[in-house]
Amino acid sequence: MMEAALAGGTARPNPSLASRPGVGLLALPLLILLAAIYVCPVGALLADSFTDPVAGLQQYRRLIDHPVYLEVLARTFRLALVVTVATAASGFPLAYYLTIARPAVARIAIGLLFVPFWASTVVRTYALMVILGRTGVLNGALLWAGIISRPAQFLFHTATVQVAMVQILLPFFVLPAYGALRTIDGSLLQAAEGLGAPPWQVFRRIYLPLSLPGLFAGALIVFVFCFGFFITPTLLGGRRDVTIAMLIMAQFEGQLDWGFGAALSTLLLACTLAGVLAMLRLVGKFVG
Amino acid sequence: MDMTAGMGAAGAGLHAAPASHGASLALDQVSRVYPNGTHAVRALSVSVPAGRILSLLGPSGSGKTTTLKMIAGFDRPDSGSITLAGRDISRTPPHARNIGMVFQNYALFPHMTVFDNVAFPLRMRGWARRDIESAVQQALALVHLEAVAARLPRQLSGGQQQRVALARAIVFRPKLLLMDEPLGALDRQLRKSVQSELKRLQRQLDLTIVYVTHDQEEAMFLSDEIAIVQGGRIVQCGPPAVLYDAPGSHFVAGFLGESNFLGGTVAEAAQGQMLVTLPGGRQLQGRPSEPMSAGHAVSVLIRPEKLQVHAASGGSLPGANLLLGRIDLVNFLGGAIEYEIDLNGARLTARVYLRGAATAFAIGDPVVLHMAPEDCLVFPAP
Repeated sequence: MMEAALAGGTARPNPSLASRPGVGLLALPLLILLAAIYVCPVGALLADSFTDPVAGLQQYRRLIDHPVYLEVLARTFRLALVVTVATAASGFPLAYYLTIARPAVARIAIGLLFVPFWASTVVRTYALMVILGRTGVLNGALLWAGIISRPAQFLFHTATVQVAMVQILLPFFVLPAYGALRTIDGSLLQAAEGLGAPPWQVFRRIYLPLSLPGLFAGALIVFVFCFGFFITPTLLGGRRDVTIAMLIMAQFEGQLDWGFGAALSTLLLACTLAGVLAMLRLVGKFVG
Repeated sequence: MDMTAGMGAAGAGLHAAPASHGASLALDQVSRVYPNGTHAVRALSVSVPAGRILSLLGPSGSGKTTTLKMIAGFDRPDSGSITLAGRDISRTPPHARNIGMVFQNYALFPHMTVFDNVAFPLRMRGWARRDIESAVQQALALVHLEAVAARLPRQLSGGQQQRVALARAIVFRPKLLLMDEPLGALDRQLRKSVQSELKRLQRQLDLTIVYVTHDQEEAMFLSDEIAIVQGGRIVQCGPPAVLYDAPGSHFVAGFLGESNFLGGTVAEAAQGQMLVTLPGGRQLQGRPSEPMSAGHAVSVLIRPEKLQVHAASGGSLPGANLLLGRIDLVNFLGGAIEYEIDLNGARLTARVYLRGAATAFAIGDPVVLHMAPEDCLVFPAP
């Protein structure tokens, strides 16, 4: 009892409840669900990559023998990195603003952040196509204003994919980052200022370092999403914007090559895990 | 700019001749109205000579912290001026004011070691690495924390954190040191020793300090002057002894030190003297705090240590200002005994310091209380 109280001093609302035997059973329904629809299928898929159509490593040999697959992987990684950095760069000021805005304003702004979730990513991506297309709103406006004389091609560029992904993923960054930034003690910033730090130094020496764990948390979520992103690159991207997720899709749907699809999936999973671990180590370094 | 350069040159060490570096501070008619209409500070004027400690003492919400924030530059007065070392700093940004501040929660940078925390103000001033090294070492030595320079704040005890905050606030030899209830989080015993330490440092470094507290004992212990703040105004300002012996109002009397109040009405008023009739009909001679005429409702202040307790059967007693009572409670305080005395419904506390074989009274004993007229201060009833 005493130990539980000490251990849970800050986080647990009721330590005595948490130490009651069998309380862990509360997690059981979720664990069963996860096992049924996540762990087992993924395990089966991983197994497929070694057994389909025959047992052996031939699917992985194929991965290495044809450079195109690793190229796609590298391109996907680059896309994820660019989008993550851009999302963090544009989301950080917004998250900061939310922490200093008046509470009523902050509540409304956070509500607005959730609005995009009302429509699925597919719908939002199609909406972007409507806006960016040859006869779309943007071209119409530019033509009307006389800035261009012929409709410009906005779709099927890598940059378009990146901008669209930033727009779609921004809430996933801003919300955790805001949560973390809120916990930064304002008196630290005042203390720094009083000790002679001009605003820029207060930001660089105090606010930014203390923000990093929150920024990394948001960035991690965005990065993981990006790495498996499928719909937006498919619809908005050009022929060069093939991602690893699109290749996997093609194996399962087009080629009906489950073994190779499974091998690509395993590769994606491994790379995502590696990315997550690398980022966690980075965070650990800064948080100390 | 020239200031920064000067500080760099002077950074050689705190042990150098303690050239007077605390500056004088003056607030003139400073007011602050919050956007919601609250008058946090109203036309407040106060000054601190160089090298002195001024305490702003008042209940929470009295405006003392707002005043401190305006001195530091974290809040701006709506009117009035703040002058440090003869220069109006009301519009100077906080980072250019050269004022050290110790926050209530210490505000140590959690991602920096103790050394880096203390070095921070020096780095911001562009000191050379070697000078920073020695100045930080000396500042940590002043607060006896050389051994923990490499630790992070969260690895320190509350008392140690408090001392790091102090070292950080004085390492750059500020013109003024502001302290916002800095000892509030420490336990009583530790607080006592930190207070003495602070006084010693203040003298040694010739610091000018503005100290915000709601703890009257702390204010009396530390201060050269105390300003009692209430409702955004200073109701009285002066040396602790003056405030204690000659409080200007009922509020100040009640706020500073322990006090007994007896209600009554003025029977006779003469120059510098007053005769007060108590509810039971007995009369008490006292010293009026302001002119009042007969019939005025008043409150008589008597400090517990000014009450003399005699056995009811005792022999010769001075004639005037005697009250009969009964011991209701006896509290032993170590060096003194506190008697709570029932006085026909009114209650008084008397503190008797024990010297040799003093008579001790027991609960229920009838006693005679005597108080000198000059120890009975008469205020208009609040």
